[in-house]
Amino acid sequence: MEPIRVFYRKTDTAKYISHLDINRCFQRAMKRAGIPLWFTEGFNPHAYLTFPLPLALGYESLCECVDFRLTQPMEPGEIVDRLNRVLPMGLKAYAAAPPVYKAADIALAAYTVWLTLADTDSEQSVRILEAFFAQPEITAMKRTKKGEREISLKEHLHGLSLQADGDMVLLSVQLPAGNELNINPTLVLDAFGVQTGMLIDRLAVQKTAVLTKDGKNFA
Amino acid sequence: MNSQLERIFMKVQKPGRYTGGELNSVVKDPAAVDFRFAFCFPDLYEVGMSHLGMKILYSLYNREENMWCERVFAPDTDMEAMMCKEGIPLFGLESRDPIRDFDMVGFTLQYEMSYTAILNMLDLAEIPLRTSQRTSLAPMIIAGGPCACNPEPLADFIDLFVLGEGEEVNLELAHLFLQAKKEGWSREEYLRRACKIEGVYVPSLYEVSYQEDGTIRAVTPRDGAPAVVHKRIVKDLDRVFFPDSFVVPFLETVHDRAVIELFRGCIRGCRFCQAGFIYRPFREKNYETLNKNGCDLCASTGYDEISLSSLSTSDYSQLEDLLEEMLPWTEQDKVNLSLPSLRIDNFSPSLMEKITKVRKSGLTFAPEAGTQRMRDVINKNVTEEEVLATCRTAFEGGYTSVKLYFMMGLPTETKEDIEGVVDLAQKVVDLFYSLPDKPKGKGVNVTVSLACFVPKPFTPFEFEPQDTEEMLREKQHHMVGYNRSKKIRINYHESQTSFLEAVLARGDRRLCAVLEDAWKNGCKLDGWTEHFNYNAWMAAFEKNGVDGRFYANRTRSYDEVMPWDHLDYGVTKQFLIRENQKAHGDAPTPNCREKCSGCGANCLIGRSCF
Repeated sequence: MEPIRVFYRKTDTAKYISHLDINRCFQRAMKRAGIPLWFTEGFNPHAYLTFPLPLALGYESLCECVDFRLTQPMEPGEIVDRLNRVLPMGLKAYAAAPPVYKAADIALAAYTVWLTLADTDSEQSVRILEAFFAQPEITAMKRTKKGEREISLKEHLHGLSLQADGDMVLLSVQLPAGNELNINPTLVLDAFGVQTGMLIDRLAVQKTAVLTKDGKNFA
Repeated sequence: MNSQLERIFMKVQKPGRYTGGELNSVVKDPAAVDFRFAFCFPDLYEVGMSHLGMKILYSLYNREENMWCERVFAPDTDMEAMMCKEGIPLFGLESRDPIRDFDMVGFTLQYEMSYTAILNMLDLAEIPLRTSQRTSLAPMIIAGGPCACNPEPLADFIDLFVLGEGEEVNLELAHLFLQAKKEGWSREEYLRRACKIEGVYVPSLYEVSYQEDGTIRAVTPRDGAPAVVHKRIVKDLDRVFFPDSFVVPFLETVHDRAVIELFRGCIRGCRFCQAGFIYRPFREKNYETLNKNGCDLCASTGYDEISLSSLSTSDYSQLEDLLEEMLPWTEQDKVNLSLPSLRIDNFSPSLMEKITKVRKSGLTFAPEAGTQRMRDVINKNVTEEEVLATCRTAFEGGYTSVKLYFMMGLPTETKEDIEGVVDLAQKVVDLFYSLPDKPKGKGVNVTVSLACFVPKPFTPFEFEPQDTEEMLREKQHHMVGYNRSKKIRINYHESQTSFLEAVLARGDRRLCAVLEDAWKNGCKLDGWTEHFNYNAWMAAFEKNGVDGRFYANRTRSYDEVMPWDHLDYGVTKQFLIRENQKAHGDAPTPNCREKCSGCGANCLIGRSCF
């Protein structure tokens, strides 16, 4: 019954695997890998996997993790090796260890975003985006289980930076993540689109780090 | 194209349908292969990925070093709109290359209502729809599967049809194609040679003439095409290729599980069932082969469910041996066994015990008709006592919900037969409450699922008229009104879809123009209620001066030339006539194990079946 947290990258076509589907995908991978996964007991036993921080469909990530329990001990290195032999393209495990933090300790996630604005070159796009983010107040409509509500974004944008990267704009930002408040880059960019009427043409998002309240890497 | 695709993947529902990259999907270097095949399933990914035939042929081709087979499904409407807007032609999931550049494009014909999807996919692929409009050798458009037994409504669009089982003939066609490429043949030359391969039907090499009353006068071969095309079968199922891995989809599909195939053919001969005749003769796989197939598949996929597939699982003579072999490892690995298509009359308590070890859910049985007379007519050799005894076994085993499949509109059906369906369902309800050791604290649920009978080629009912829509609707209303129990739920199928199925199933080449017009009128996913547009179909019939009732609601005489009479599936027309006559005399036929009824299919294996 040892708890284990496996860290993995989710890139390329794997970014189109939805959060619901990634669970099934890992269950099957564990089975193929022969990892002694703990199953729930009871009428309909099923593999028990939890994902501390869900990833939006279409985002890449360098820092995903999945928690599960073992029925027999297995070396973390062995788990990583076994998984990598059977995982589909675009999923790659890089570390395994007993969890240090709880899912509730997650406070921030860092993202790198590449984008282009329709009919606008990257230098010009950077200036337009800088002007947008320089406003004293930025609001967005966030959909929650209780319906739509307006939230203020400005104070939640940490370490924002913008630069032209070839024909694309490279945006780095840290945003609130976890159970209490979760803001993802799409929400921010939707707010930009609504306010400016500008169309985002190409968009690629990559989650690069998950951080705790103390600014430590989630481990 | 890739960056363009990436952009639209983000804008459509379930991009996983179009991205490829699933576990066990095969990616090869296009420069290193000589033959590229697009396996097209004319329906959405979720349906197509559930299909065993595709998995078999996918692995069969990809095992050949110089060949690459990719999967293609019908895009959903949102994806289709995006592809059209961005000018992206239909592509293979593995390479994302346009399939119009492939050597061969193959469609599987699983049901009639997917025909418009075939035309739509050809159009999205930017491949000219009609055989006569295509001039180059590649892509060669082929099709196979159960509906190929009467492919005439598709004759103008498909270059060649594969009749029967595909494991051998597909590679023969591929090798012939490689020769054609090397020697620079025209497409006509390739087709002339292909039609000499057993099981290959090239419709353009046959001339169809009609009588004044609209029936067929004759089907005449030319250019040396055989007068009769015989379907292909694999004689020894223990030696036939079977994949040791399946592509494992990321998103949830209709059937997302390992499948092993117990046998082909069926011993029962239910007179409405096309599968029961066109897959003959009956051939079983050995249980040890099957156990290994199942083991390999679970190891390579990580699936937690194996389905034991066949037309009638409990007719597999080695079922108990197989379960004995499989239960230890499946229980240990927490793999569920799923046994669809169980028959009512041989569902034994010991079998019951074996399957309930794994999981308890609802049970489904198919009495097909409500009265004994009607069941004798259709040769569903099941008695009311057997239905009730099976339900008793199920209830005593802890089940509380039973689903019963029936058909309506069967030949010779009367009001009593319709009421008999509800009466039988009521008896099942009464039985539940009469049991002293029924599951405690729970009510019973009996679901009656009602299909409209569709007469199909190569069945004893191929001569029969389908009930008109009005008759079917009236019967449905009568049945619902006759039901007095809240424990019985009656679901029925849309009769308009069944009518079109009946037209296409026994149609001829004059329907090609109707099909094309229906597609032009916007029909492309007819199997989906939300996309089905009956009026668009009716407009297409009208425009071409074709009356669907001629095909659906007309009785054929025994000596009428059927559109498929030049295709041979083993069972003889004389046998079908004999069975039809017995049906009209309310007389059943014993199953093949009890007594051979001389259907003719055993000539394909050159020995008796048992």
